[in-house]
Amino acid sequence: MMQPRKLALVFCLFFAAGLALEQGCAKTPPTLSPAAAVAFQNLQVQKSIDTIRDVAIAANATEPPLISTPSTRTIVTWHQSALVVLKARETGWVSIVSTSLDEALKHLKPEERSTIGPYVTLAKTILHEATK
Amino acid sequence: MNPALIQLAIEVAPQVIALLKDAFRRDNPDAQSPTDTEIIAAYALAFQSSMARDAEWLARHPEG
Repeated sequence: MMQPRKLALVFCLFFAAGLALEQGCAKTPPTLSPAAAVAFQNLQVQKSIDTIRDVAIAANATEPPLISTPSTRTIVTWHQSALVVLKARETGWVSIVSTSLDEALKHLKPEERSTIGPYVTLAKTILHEATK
Repeated sequence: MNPALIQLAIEVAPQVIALLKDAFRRDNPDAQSPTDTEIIAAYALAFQSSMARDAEWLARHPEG
Protein backbone atom coordinates (compact mmCIF):
# COMPACT_ATOMS: atom_id res chain seq x y z
CA MET A 1 0.00 0.00 0.00
CA MET A 2 1.39 3.39 -1.01
CA GLN A 3 1.97 5.92 1.76
CA PRO A 4 -0.24 9.05 1.59
CA ARG A 5 2.70 11.45 1.09
CA LYS A 6 4.17 9.36 -1.69
CA LEU A 7 0.72 9.10 -3.24
CA ALA A 8 0.42 12.90 -3.05
CA LEU A 9 3.80 13.34 -4.79
CA VAL A 10 2.81 10.93 -7.54
CA PHE A 11 -0.57 12.67 -7.90
CA CYS A 12 1.10 16.10 -8.21
CA LEU A 13 3.46 14.88 -10.93
CA PHE A 14 0.67 13.21 -12.88
CA PHE A 15 -1.48 16.33 -12.49
CA ALA A 16 1.36 18.47 -13.84
CA ALA A 17 1.87 16.06 -16.74
CA GLY A 18 -1.85 16.17 -17.51
CA LEU A 19 -1.87 19.95 -17.37
CA ALA A 20 1.16 20.09 -19.67
CA LEU A 21 -0.70 17.84 -22.11
CA GLU A 22 -3.80 20.04 -21.88
CA GLN A 23 -1.96 23.34 -22.24
CA GLY A 24 0.56 22.19 -24.80
CA CYS A 25 4.29 22.69 -24.69
CA ALA A 26 6.24 25.74 -25.70
CA LYS A 27 5.62 26.23 -29.39
CA THR A 28 8.41 26.50 -31.92
CA PRO A 29 8.90 30.21 -32.80
CA PRO A 30 7.48 30.71 -36.32
CA THR A 31 10.41 32.90 -37.38
CA LEU A 32 12.95 30.06 -37.19
CA SER A 33 14.42 28.34 -40.24
CA PRO A 34 13.56 24.61 -40.66
CA ALA A 35 16.98 23.58 -39.25
CA ALA A 36 16.62 25.86 -36.23
CA ALA A 37 13.01 24.69 -35.67
CA VAL A 38 14.26 21.09 -35.49
CA ALA A 39 17.03 22.15 -33.08
CA PHE A 40 14.42 23.95 -30.93
CA GLN A 41 12.22 20.85 -30.73
CA ASN A 42 15.24 18.60 -30.10
CA LEU A 43 16.27 20.84 -27.23
CA GLN A 44 12.80 20.53 -25.66
CA VAL A 45 12.78 16.74 -26.00
CA GLN A 46 16.36 16.39 -24.81
CA LYS A 47 15.56 18.29 -21.61
CA SER A 48 12.77 15.82 -20.87
CA ILE A 49 14.92 12.71 -21.42
CA ASP A 50 17.85 14.29 -19.58
CA THR A 51 15.52 14.52 -16.57
CA ILE A 52 14.97 10.75 -16.59
CA ARG A 53 18.74 10.13 -16.68
CA ASP A 54 19.40 12.76 -13.99
CA VAL A 55 16.69 11.36 -11.69
CA ALA A 56 18.13 7.85 -12.12
CA ILE A 57 21.64 9.07 -11.26
CA ALA A 58 20.32 11.06 -8.26
CA ALA A 59 18.31 8.03 -7.08
CA ASN A 60 21.46 5.88 -7.35
CA ALA A 61 23.34 8.39 -5.18
CA THR A 62 20.85 8.37 -2.27
CA GLU A 63 21.66 6.45 0.91
CA PRO A 64 20.49 3.72 0.59
CA PRO A 65 20.30 3.85 -3.23
CA LEU A 66 16.72 3.97 -4.53
CA ILE A 67 17.95 2.64 -7.88
CA SER A 68 20.79 0.11 -8.10
CA THR A 69 23.94 0.80 -10.11
CA PRO A 70 23.12 -1.87 -12.79
CA SER A 71 19.64 -0.36 -13.22
CA THR A 72 21.09 3.17 -13.42
CA ARG A 73 23.56 1.91 -16.01
CA THR A 74 20.59 0.60 -18.05
CA ILE A 75 18.96 4.05 -17.94
CA VAL A 76 22.19 5.94 -18.73
CA THR A 77 22.94 3.61 -21.67
CA TRP A 78 19.36 4.04 -22.94
CA HIS A 79 19.74 7.80 -22.62
CA GLN A 80 22.93 7.82 -24.71
CA SER A 81 21.18 5.90 -27.49
CA ALA A 82 18.06 8.08 -27.23
CA LEU A 83 20.14 11.25 -27.73
CA VAL A 84 21.67 9.77 -30.90
CA VAL A 85 18.23 8.70 -32.20
CA LEU A 86 16.84 12.16 -31.42
CA LYS A 87 19.69 13.89 -33.25
CA ALA A 88 19.36 11.63 -36.32
CA ARG A 89 15.55 12.10 -36.43
CA GLU A 90 14.92 9.18 -38.74
CA THR A 91 11.35 8.06 -39.46
CA GLY A 92 9.58 6.78 -36.33
CA TRP A 93 12.11 8.25 -33.93
CA VAL A 94 9.50 9.29 -31.34
CA SER A 95 8.21 5.73 -31.19
CA ILE A 96 11.77 4.34 -31.04
CA VAL A 97 12.67 6.59 -28.09
CA SER A 98 9.42 5.80 -26.26
CA THR A 99 9.52 2.03 -26.89
CA SER A 100 13.19 1.69 -26.03
CA LEU A 101 12.49 3.50 -22.75
CA ASP A 102 9.73 1.00 -21.95
CA GLU A 103 12.16 -1.83 -22.72
CA ALA A 104 14.84 -0.31 -20.48
CA LEU A 105 12.32 0.06 -17.63
CA LYS A 106 11.54 -3.66 -17.82
CA HIS A 107 15.08 -4.31 -16.50
CA LEU A 108 14.35 -2.31 -13.33
CA LYS A 109 12.89 -3.78 -10.14
CA PRO A 110 9.23 -2.82 -9.50
CA GLU A 111 10.16 -0.44 -6.66
CA GLU A 112 12.77 1.21 -8.90
CA ARG A 113 10.17 1.61 -11.64
CA SER A 114 7.77 3.22 -9.18
CA THR A 115 10.49 5.65 -8.03
CA ILE A 116 11.24 6.82 -11.57
CA GLY A 117 7.70 6.31 -12.97
CA PRO A 118 6.29 9.82 -12.43
CA TYR A 119 9.33 11.41 -14.09
CA VAL A 120 9.01 9.00 -17.03
CA THR A 121 5.34 9.96 -17.45
CA LEU A 122 6.23 13.64 -17.37
CA ALA A 123 9.05 13.22 -19.90
CA LYS A 124 6.91 11.11 -22.24
CA THR A 125 4.17 13.75 -22.16
CA ILE A 126 6.65 16.45 -23.12
CA LEU A 127 8.27 14.18 -25.75
CA HIS A 128 4.96 13.69 -27.53
CA GLU A 129 3.76 17.29 -27.12
CA ALA A 130 7.00 18.94 -28.21
CA THR A 131 6.94 17.15 -31.53
CA LYS A 132 3.30 17.97 -32.43
CA MET B 1 8.01 8.42 3.83
CA ASN B 2 11.36 6.91 2.91
CA PRO B 3 14.09 9.52 3.70
CA ALA B 4 15.89 8.56 0.49
CA LEU B 5 12.74 9.43 -1.51
CA ILE B 6 12.60 12.84 0.17
CA GLN B 7 16.31 13.33 -0.58
CA LEU B 8 15.68 12.44 -4.24
CA ALA B 9 12.66 14.75 -4.48
CA ILE B 10 14.66 17.66 -3.02
CA GLU B 11 17.60 16.99 -5.32
CA VAL B 12 15.62 16.75 -8.56
CA ALA B 13 12.95 19.35 -7.74
CA PRO B 14 14.80 22.32 -9.37
CA GLN B 15 15.23 20.38 -12.62
CA VAL B 16 11.62 19.18 -12.67
CA ILE B 17 10.36 22.73 -11.94
CA ALA B 18 12.56 24.11 -14.75
CA LEU B 19 11.21 21.45 -17.10
CA LEU B 20 7.61 22.33 -16.19
CA LYS B 21 8.25 26.08 -16.47
CA ASP B 22 9.71 25.48 -19.91
CA ALA B 23 6.72 23.35 -20.89
CA PHE B 24 4.23 25.97 -19.68
CA ARG B 25 6.14 28.89 -21.15
CA ARG B 26 3.87 31.12 -23.16
CA ASP B 27 4.94 33.25 -26.08
CA ASN B 28 5.64 36.75 -24.87
CA PRO B 29 5.10 39.23 -27.71
CA ASP B 30 7.57 41.64 -26.11
CA ALA B 31 10.30 39.05 -25.78
CA GLN B 32 12.97 38.96 -28.45
CA SER B 33 12.89 35.66 -30.37
CA PRO B 34 16.11 33.68 -30.33
CA THR B 35 18.00 33.62 -33.60
CA ASP B 36 18.61 30.48 -35.67
CA THR B 37 22.27 30.57 -34.73
CA GLU B 38 21.51 30.81 -31.01
CA ILE B 39 19.07 27.89 -31.09
CA ILE B 40 21.37 25.65 -33.13
CA ALA B 41 24.34 26.48 -30.90
CA ALA B 42 22.29 25.88 -27.72
CA TYR B 43 21.23 22.45 -28.95
CA ALA B 44 24.76 21.49 -30.02
CA LEU B 45 26.09 22.49 -26.59
CA ALA B 46 23.29 20.67 -24.73
CA PHE B 47 23.88 17.52 -26.81
CA GLN B 48 27.61 17.50 -26.17
CA SER B 49 27.36 18.18 -22.45
CA SER B 50 24.63 15.58 -21.95
CA MET B 51 26.61 12.90 -23.82
CA ALA B 52 29.65 13.85 -21.74
CA ARG B 53 27.66 13.39 -18.51
CA ASP B 54 26.60 9.89 -19.62
CA ALA B 55 30.17 8.96 -20.56
CA GLU B 56 31.52 10.33 -17.29
CA TRP B 57 28.98 8.38 -15.18
CA LEU B 58 29.60 5.16 -17.13
CA ALA B 59 33.37 5.58 -16.72
CA ARG B 60 32.95 5.95 -12.95
CA HIS B 61 30.69 2.87 -12.78
CA PRO B 62 32.28 0.24 -15.03
CA GLU B 63 30.29 -2.93 -15.64
CA GLY B 64 31.20 -5.99 -13.57
